[in-house]
Amino acid sequence: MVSNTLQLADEFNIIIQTLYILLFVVLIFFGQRIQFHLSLMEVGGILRQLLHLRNAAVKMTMDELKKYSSEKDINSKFERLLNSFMIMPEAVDPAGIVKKIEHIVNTRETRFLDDVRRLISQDIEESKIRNLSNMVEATMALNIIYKIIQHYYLLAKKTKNFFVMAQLQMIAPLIFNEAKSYLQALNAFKLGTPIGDTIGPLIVHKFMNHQETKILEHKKDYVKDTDLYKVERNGRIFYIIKASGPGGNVGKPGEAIKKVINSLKKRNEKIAGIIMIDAALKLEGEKTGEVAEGVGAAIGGIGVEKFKIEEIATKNKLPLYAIIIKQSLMEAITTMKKEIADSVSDAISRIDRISREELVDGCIILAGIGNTIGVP
Amino acid sequence: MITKLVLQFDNFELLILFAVAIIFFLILLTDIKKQGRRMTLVNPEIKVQLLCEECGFKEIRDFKEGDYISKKPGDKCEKCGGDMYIDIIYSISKQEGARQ
Ligand SMILES: [Zn+2]
Repeated sequence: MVSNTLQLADEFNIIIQTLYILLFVVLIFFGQRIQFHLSLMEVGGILRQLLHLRNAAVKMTMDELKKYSSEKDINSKFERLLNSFMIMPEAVDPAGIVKKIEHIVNTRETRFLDDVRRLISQDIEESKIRNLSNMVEATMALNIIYKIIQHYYLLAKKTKNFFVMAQLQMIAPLIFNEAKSYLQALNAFKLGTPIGDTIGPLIVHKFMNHQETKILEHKKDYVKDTDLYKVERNGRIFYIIKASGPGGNVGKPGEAIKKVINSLKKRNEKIAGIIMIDAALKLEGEKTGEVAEGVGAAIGGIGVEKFKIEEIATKNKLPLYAIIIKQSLMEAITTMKKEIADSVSDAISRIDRISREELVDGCIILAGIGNTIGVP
Repeated sequence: MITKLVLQFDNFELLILFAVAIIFFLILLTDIKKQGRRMTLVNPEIKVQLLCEECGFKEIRDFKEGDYISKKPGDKCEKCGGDMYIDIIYSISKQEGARQ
């Protein structure tokens, strides 16, 4: 009986050892393929979640549009809007490309807003239409993210390309987080609350409504979608530029700065310099709502407005100062966090310090850059 | 019978195999759980801080659609009855709200 059991254990040992060797052989020859299928599973899961996010965004935007629309085939019209695109101009001969980009961007903006306006049958405030078009834009972003990830996923699956899949697996979680931010941004646009990016317009709004500041003049729509204010504070004249609110809108600060500098020069008024205030992406580990100062044109976007500001500042030899408020991408496009809102007084004291110590001679141009949603 | 068999093993290979399998299974499980957690989207609580024009009294309430910065939504000051205006609008995530 005992010898019988021992023999059985011996046989068992041999089986285990064979299995071990087999495992190594399998791993050596099929390791990468197994890895590929594991990646495929993981990316497939993320892709399904992305589709889920995209569908949630489409539903949310459609529900909001339907509230104000009596259009019957709103679905197909929305679909057309969702799949619209913009082709950037040719860059082989880059001379004068900014003008071309500006033209195409303007055309797209106008057409897009008019498309949204046509969907809506009720007479509603302009700011609500702006917010709705921002919602559609965030949905478009989600749609395109989903489509691109799906493209590479299917491509890697079809060609069994491990390295495409590995890259996708590395980047997919980051992209998923971005997509999640866009869905939360939709909520902010729906309600019309200020977002993190609104901090620039918010700071200049608070600056001119401060008890020590006196508003001398307000020119609504000084250039398209952008307002100009002339204010006096501590005996200094400030020309303040911000997008027209409280609808979601970034305006044309570059064009406005150009126009105001040209008109000031015509009147022979001395300009001390330009201060730009904008939200900036923080590095991981930096504190949200931290304020920093520097030089240069603090403005994001496609580059047209930045180009204009840099050009006019260079031409007139005007110092270009920047104040930035740090935040993550997620924080920049979702409802403003308390930490970001709390940076207002710090930023205002920095503007005061610059106007007192650095830009001492002449008037100052102050531009609050960003989406002005929720700030008039 | 089987337990007897295992006990008579002089190497632990089988046990190690079991242990490794269980560890992998647990890692996979937590990974799936994490994915599920990633999907839950929590809409943040949005608060509005109102200030009294007359005396600077501060009040915080929930956000209502149509609110924007510097708007006077018609709320009256508890202290002096003056008009209140919206100072800031901000969000707090649910977890932070629970901690407060
Ligand atoms: Zn009061």
